[in-house]
Amino acid sequence: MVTFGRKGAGTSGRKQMVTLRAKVDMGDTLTLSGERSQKDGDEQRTYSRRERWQGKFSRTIQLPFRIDAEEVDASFANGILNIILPRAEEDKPHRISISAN
Amino acid sequence: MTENQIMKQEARDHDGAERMRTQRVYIPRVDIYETGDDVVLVADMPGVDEDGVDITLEKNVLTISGNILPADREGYSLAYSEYREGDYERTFALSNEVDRNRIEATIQDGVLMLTLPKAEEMKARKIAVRSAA
Repeated sequence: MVTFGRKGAGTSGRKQMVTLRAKVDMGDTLTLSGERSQKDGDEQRTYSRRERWQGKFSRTIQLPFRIDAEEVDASFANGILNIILPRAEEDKPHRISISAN
Repeated sequence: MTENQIMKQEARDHDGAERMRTQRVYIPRVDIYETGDDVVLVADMPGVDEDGVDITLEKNVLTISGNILPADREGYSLAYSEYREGDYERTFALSNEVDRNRIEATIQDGVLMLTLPKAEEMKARKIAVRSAA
């Protein structure tokens, strides 16, 4: 389970609460979820344009093979989440040697 | 969040002029709001850091642009692609309300926040009412 909680800094206390969660289930699905909400603070805001997404999201991705949950490496930079999920040892293809008779 | 809200919008070339960088250009989604003292513009530009952002103001045209560093995918083969990497650019017409000398910009986690203070004369003033003698 990987969790990121970030408070975006803005000028004069305009903060944005962001939470991001990544979870691996049963070794083969990855769920990403998070929320972005506005913290208004004391100021009155009048929006003339509102295009950016707000609110919660959740998404489950089926992975192509089972992965080793202990070795997952997740990093978050400049708004982009990068998750590296190494394939589980037992799920790696093994060569089968064929002996001649 | 609907599909529409997350898909990036691709920019069309300006009057057929070609870009020098061979990257797609997207139009960043923005929120624009006013407070008593400022006009604030917030733009989503994932992948852009301080060095990649460029803000110019010429006459009354404000241009925000963000350049990304393409991710290094050495040794991997693409299994699925939904997210497309690209630069960002968008222009706005600035009104006279804004005090150009005090514009501030910060970028964090790919979100650009531009604070454009309103010029003194434009701020709402409380007008004191005196009774007519």
